[in-house]
Amino acid sequence: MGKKAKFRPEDPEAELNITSLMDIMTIILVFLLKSYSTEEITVTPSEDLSLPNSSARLKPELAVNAVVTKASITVDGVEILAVSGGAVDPGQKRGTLISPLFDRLKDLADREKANAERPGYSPFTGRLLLQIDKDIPFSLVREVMYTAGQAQFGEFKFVVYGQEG
Amino acid sequence: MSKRNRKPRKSDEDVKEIVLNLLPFMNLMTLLIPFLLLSASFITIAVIDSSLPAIGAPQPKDKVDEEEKEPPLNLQIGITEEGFTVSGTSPLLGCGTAGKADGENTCKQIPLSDNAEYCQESQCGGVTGGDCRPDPACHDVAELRELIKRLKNPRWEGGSLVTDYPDEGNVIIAPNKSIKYSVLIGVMDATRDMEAPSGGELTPVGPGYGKETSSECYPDVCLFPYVVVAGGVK
Repeated sequence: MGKKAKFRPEDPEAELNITSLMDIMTIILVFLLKSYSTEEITVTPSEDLSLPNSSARLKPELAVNAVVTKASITVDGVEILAVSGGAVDPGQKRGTLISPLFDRLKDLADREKANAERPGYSPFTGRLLLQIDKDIPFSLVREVMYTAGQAQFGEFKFVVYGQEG
Repeated sequence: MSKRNRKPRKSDEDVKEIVLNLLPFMNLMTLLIPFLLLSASFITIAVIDSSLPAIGAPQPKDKVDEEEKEPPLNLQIGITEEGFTVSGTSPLLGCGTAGKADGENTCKQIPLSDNAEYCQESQCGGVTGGDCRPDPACHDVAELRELIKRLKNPRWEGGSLVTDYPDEGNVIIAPNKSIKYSVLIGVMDATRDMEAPSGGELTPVGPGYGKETSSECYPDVCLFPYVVVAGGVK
């Protein structure tokens, strides 16, 4: 009687099943395509900048961007002066006018007006986007608006967190 | 006959397992998903228009009447630490025909709300816990909104949308120095527009749409969308 040959099953080849991974990728891709944004302005939320919520639906347009946070005032990414306790240093002001902010905005206005005279450039609109932290007191908001007005920026766009649709 | 010498039976269906090559698809996912993650926007940004008092938005009028049927509304909302003061020529506001109060202010006053749930909702967006600490008393923007709605009173009459003060769209907001910016935005929201009343179908402004049913604030009805931010009461 012969010995029975031992049955040695071949070592199974491990195959990675990535079907479920592809499902997840496809769903995430569809979701991210829906969330894709081509907004012209960027908002960087931080501890010092929390915009107020609003029911407004108007979309922002490209303009000079002034950001007033709990810590500083910034124009187009350049820090102008510091803010402390919801106010600026009184030494930086001439009455209601905030001098460093006025100088910066005046430069930008003059530059835009000079550019507007060239062919292909849009005319100067005096439009100013204002990103202001929700806890800033109105006294500082008023000073910023007054200073911007003196620098010939009279059309304000208050940036808020809006509603979808 | 020995079973060992028997040839293996050939199956009728010689099925070969086809393995799909998902590598290019995975490459695409690996490239697209980080790019889309960087450019995804999970919050919606909007803007509210305003302008300086000296160059405020003009009254939208089709024609100038020498004898006006009713005096202009001159709606002004003062925001103080005690609440809102709403003044204008409307009888609803109780300021008198001149729109100004001599001596004691008799214009409509809306005091602060001490409803903790309402203040939590309005100041912290309804989110409990976290760093947001709502004030025990907050400005009653909801009550202000109801007053503004009663002032404008949009309704359907004979298939047309009619409102009180149809040519009035300006509102002057005058906050105190210490009023927070979020309260100012809340007042702007309260005075801008409201949901269309039932009884008709609203249309946007444009060719092909009748003027009787159109609204500049479509799909809502405009209340007082032109905001002028004044210097403040004190």
